[in-house]
Amino acid sequence: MGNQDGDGKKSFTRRDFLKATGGAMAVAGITTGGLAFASGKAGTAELPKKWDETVDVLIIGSGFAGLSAACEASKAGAKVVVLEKMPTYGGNSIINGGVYAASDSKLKLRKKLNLGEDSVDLHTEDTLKGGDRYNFPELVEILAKGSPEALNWMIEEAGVELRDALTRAGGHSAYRTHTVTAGIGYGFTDPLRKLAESRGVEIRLGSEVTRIWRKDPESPVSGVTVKRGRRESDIAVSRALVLASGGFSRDVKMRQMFNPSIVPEFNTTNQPGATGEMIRFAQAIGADTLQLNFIQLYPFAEPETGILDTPAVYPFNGVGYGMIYVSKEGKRFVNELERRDVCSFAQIKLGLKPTYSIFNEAMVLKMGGSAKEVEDGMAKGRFVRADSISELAAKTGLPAGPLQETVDKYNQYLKDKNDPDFKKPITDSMIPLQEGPFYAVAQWPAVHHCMGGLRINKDTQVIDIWGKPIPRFYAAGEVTGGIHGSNRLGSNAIPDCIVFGRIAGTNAAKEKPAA
Amino acid sequence: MNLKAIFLSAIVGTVVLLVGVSHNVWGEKPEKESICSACHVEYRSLLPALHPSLQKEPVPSCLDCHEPAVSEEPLTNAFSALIHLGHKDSADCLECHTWKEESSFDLPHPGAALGKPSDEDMHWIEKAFDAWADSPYLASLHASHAVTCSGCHGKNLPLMDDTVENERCLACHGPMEKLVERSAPQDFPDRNPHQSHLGEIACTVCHRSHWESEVYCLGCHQNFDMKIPGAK
Ligand SMILES: Cc1cc2nc3c(=O)[nH]c(=O)nc-3n(C[C@H](O)[C@H](O)[C@H](O)COP(=O)(O)OP(=O)(O)OC[C@H]3O[C@@H](n4cnc5c(N)ncnc54)[C@H](O)[C@@H]3O)c2cc1C
Repeated sequence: MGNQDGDGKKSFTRRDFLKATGGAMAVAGITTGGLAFASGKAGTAELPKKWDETVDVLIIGSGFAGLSAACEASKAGAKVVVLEKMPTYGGNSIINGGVYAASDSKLKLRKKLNLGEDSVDLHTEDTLKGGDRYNFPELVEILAKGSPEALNWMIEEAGVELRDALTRAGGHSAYRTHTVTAGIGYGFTDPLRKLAESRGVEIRLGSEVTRIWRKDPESPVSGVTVKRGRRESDIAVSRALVLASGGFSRDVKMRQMFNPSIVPEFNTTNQPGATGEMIRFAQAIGADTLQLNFIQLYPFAEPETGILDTPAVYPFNGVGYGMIYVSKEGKRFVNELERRDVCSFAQIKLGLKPTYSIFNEAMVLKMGGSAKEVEDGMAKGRFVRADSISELAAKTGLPAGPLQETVDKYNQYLKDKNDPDFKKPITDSMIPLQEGPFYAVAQWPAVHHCMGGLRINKDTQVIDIWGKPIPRFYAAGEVTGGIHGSNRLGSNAIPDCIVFGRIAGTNAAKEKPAA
Repeated sequence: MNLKAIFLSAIVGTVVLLVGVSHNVWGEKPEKESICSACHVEYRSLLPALHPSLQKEPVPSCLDCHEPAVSEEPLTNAFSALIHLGHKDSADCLECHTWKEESSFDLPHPGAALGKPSDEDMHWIEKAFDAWADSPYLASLHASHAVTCSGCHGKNLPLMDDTVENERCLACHGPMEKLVERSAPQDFPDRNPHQSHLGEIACTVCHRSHWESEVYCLGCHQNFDMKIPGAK
């Protein structure tokens, strides 16, 4: 678009302009980036002759990964700009459930609440096992080892606050899931955003990256094209580009390309900007990707819309304290401590939508819930409360006889410390469903997380299709692959984003400025 | 009727009148010096009955009473609003204004530099004006309350992709606490769009003046019953 005049001023004709906006109208999702190497050969484009701006460290995406990278890069003295295509910051991070897996922290909650043992090794092993060992051990170790330290960092430097509770969630073999006081990702993103901005980071909203520039397969990344409103501009990176653009759960077409079983009919828990164009732009400059077919369903989303609201976090947080899942026939159908993929497909196999989580009052605070959340959820009709199991059955439409039978049998299993039906490992912290009030919440799977993405190394450098790091190009967070394998354990994503985001920001700032 | 009331009714009357007469008195493209008189032979008939008689040249004498609205402050009912409302049906800014690409945009009388729009900017300024003059969007709603460009965009002519900061919206519509109170849902207080789980966001995320507004919440919460003016 536009011609460069001698004095560098753009002069436009209306025809140029129409062409440009026409091209830019392509919506987020699968935009046709074309070949992005700028070698000047047929089919490729020339690098911008003149850049509109130069930035030390340019970060794409304003979620956990982007904000953490921004905090570290700016602390190291780099001029940092974060580009976010949506009109609000925070991506999936700001709407997330606010639960964070760490084998320990400076708060020592596990010890304080007397919840047994844990270690970095155990966290590593659970994560590898939960991902069917498709994940790379050296990356998983960084996650498990870095998680407590990253949590302490957020508490100390950003002022993040946690609830006085710790849960054992599906796939984890220890009580290690922490809950932020706000009960939602905002409780992490808001302090991180403020920390970043206090260090001079500029977050530009409504700024969609539409291309990454690299001269040829030997060269470093040189910059990006950004569309802001109706204007496009080219920004050069002096030190490095950090890609933190999240997953593509909202990108139905891309989901289908890599995993046809994630059919369009599924709801999703994700924000509208969770589309995969940045992965394609990275591929177009030679970046390697892996495991894009591994797409996770969240088993407990609100059945009608797929929203992961506060009540939808309860089924995830409650199982370590004895919560059960029942079908419409009032029967358990899975070991509730199972991984997300197992819990999701057990429901889908039932073929009867929805299923329900059943819990009682005594579990609420233990699992990091609150009385206010329960009341709000009741008002919205999300939680159903009753004094007896039969009353709960009447209120939910579950069959009373079978539900009572299920609960009685289950209570006995807790006493026996043995679950012959589903082999759930019974712990001392599990509470029998004996005393009311009892609660039910409806649930159904929705598309949630993309385990696959860009191939990175331990330094978060993006690796190209020949196995070499692409100079000046880093990536962190959900846009990367190889950390969670085939199935991410719940509450492992925040530590993933924060730990690797910080590494990316630190390393990006260390790069020597381009000549 | 006190003086202030007379002025107020005069202003309102002018709006109505100017809208009505703009076309039949249109003439040749005016010269810079005599911008109004090139089209308008006399002014008395454009004004409401109660309007005080005119002493001097039309425009300067209007400005004696009606603020020009080329101001940093948000104003309503200013002269600029009245005159633009009166010429709503004119699609071409350059009937009255002068423009040199990327160097100036002026009123006919000198010294009123309003910015340096490019050709591309001008294209969008015209579109923005059209939406202000007549559209189902919020700009039109502002026009009907005699709020003109500067009311929202400040002294300089808004260029392509100009946006309006929250502060500016809140100068008239605020304070925020009032909006929070007004939009508090009866049923679920935590579903308040002005106090949401996204923290403080730009007004323009939902409310857009020159094109369709959009309830951003509905991007995820598809089953919420929320409506705003200027949206589908
Ligand atoms: C509802 C929900 C609840 C969750 N709860 C938890 C939880 O409790 N615990 C946990 O560990 N994990 C949870 N997860 C997963 C976790 O929140 C995400 O994996 C994590 O937020 C991803 O962070 P990110 O920084 O990688 O990406 P995001 O936070 O998604 O940020 C990426 C940003 O990049 C922007 N972007 C994309 N493309 C472009 C482009 N072309 N140009 C400019 N910007 C672009 C996007 O708009 C987005 O804002 C949850 C996920 C969801 C959806």
